[in-house]
Amino acid sequence: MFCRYIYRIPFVYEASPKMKKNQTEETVGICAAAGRPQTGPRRKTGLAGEKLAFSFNGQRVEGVAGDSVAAALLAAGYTTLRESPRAGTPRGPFCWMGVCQECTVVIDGVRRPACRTSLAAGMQIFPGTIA
Amino acid sequence: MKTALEPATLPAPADLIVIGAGPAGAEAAMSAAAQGLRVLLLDEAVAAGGQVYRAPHAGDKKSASSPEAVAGNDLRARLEASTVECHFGETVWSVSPGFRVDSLSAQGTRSWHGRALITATGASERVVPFPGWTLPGVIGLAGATILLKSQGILPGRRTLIAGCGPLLLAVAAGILAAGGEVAAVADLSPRSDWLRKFPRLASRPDLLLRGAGWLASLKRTGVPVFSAHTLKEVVRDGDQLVATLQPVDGARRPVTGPEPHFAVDAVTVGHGLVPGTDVTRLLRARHHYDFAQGGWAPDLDGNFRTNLPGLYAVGDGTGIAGAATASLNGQLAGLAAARDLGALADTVHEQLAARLEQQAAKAGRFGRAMAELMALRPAQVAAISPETVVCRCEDVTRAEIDSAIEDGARTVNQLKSWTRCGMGPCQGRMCGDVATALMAQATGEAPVAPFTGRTPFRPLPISQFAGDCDYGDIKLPPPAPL
Ligand SMILES: Cc1cc2nc3c(=O)[nH]c(=O)nc-3n(C[C@H](O)[C@H](O)[C@H](O)COP(=O)(O)OP(=O)(O)OC[C@H]3O[C@@H](n4cnc5c(N)ncnc54)[C@H](O)[C@@H]3O)c2cc1C
Ligand code: FES
Repeated sequence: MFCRYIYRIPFVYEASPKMKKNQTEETVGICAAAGRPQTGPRRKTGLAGEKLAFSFNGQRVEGVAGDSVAAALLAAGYTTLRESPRAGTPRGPFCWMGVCQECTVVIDGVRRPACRTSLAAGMQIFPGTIA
Repeated sequence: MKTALEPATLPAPADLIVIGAGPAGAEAAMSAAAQGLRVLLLDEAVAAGGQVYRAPHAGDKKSASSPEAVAGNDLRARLEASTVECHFGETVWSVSPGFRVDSLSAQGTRSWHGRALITATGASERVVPFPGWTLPGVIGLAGATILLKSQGILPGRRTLIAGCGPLLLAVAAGILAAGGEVAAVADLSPRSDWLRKFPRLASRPDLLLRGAGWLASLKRTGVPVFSAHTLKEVVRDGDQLVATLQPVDGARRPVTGPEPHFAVDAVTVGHGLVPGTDVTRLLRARHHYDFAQGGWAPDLDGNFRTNLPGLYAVGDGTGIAGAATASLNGQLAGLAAARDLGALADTVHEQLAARLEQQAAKAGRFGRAMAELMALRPAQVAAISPETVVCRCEDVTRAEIDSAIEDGARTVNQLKSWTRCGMGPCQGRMCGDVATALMAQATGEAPVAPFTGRTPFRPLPISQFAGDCDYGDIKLPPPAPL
């Protein structure tokens, strides 16, 4: 049901966070399931702002200045950001306040909670898990 | 070579460090600074305001005029004009007696020193586990207020809202106002519970009126509201989530009856707030269990002093009582610290405190009535099914917890080392109070003590400990003369 678990391999990491930094778009292609956009939830009506382009899992995504990374991803329809280390079930932001760590992603090589990180243009973001 | 264990900068010790810039911490910092103290205020958020007065999304002009945004802007402006030294984006991960506070920001780790410490870290949300609560798209109810208030986004196009307390209506009305669809609202509390609280809630007619407005907007849009219903389970069906409700009795025990279900793309669910006691537990201050105010909280005297000299605690981290109480008590805690540090004469302190104490007592009555609606219900915990994941980080199920207790685990710390429940990156903050409740029910011993506080209480990248260390840099001592 949870579509294609082939993206498990990239989750088994990660001796050094630097590895993510060097990951090319080809090598991350296999984690596409984590980043499969669903029909995106709606933005609040009347929200405006400068568009910021970034990438998730090698895919180009656009957010709005003032977004957190988690909000920009949710707005683009990405609800799954990682999988749980033990059972391997898909996870996405849950508490939205920096407590649960379910929203952990790897941003430019550093693992961070997406809900507590402000979006910046050009960020290269990959699914994160906590080994 | 720079090791991260050495603080990058060592600012001169402050008189007072305040952790948390919500209404409680920000007011405490300002009232202490107004008495001439040098005060440092640390918060991991990008601006002051805490959970309730969070700064709105930069592109969200509509929310900028909400009562919370106005109060928040006022708080931030006063803070700006004060002498408080604010440091945002600093996540505190350790506190040692004396006081040394360690924090992590995008720039790395830093240490701060202060003669006294006020912890005002607020509350986090409790969600009593049910099958499907780990599915992406299922989020916390308090979390949904954050989405609406400061992230400029809705949880989904069509959302089911479940749980208990005032946030149910606030989130439902917020989603409707922002142009979203609410499939249904499932309130765990029976209607009679709200009515019983009515006399105390009426002490804040403004807030009561706001609640009535929220209810009216639900009525207008025809959103069904199910009183005395729990969220039984959520399953994924393609791109959709299917949420099933089940009726409960007065004790919140699920009973047989019609089980309506809804296809949605988001579910928000929350069962109240839990005081954030990371700092007070780490320092081993004394705590007590208060069912009505959210669970374990530090013991305090009338002046917000814990039993450890120089350590104060205030706000929802000391028991859930709401934003108005938090800001009044914050002012009182700041004054108490100023007095103890010798910046304020006893007689002046008494004069300044007297009026605030009266207001705080009144605000507290309202806050506590709300908190009681959100208290943890033992019958709801008892009804968690064996295959349900309780600890999200480590995927530990109820059955695994039960079998560890059967095998003799008697403290949640034992449970943690036997099952890994609470050992993951959230440090047991998501599962802690349900794990203690499960243990209390199985052993008949209530209340069971919480997880022992450990440092780092927020995840810290290993690289922060190791720094940019290269083995080649390590100076070897010259060989000893033979
Ligand atoms: C998500 C959420 C939404 C809520 N929404 C409402 C609402 O709409 N209306 C309402 O009346 N009440 C709401 N509440 C209740 C709320 O707890 C109180 O009303 C009020 O915010 C309490 O104020 P406080 O100052 O005690 O804590 P908070 O406002 O929670 O402030 C605590 C501050 O401490 C900071 N902090 C915590 N831990 C650390 C750390 N380790 N390092 C650095 N900083 C840290 C946090 O970033 C936060 O800014 C909400 C609570 C939550 C959890
Ligand atoms: S969603 Fe819980 S930490 Fe980000």
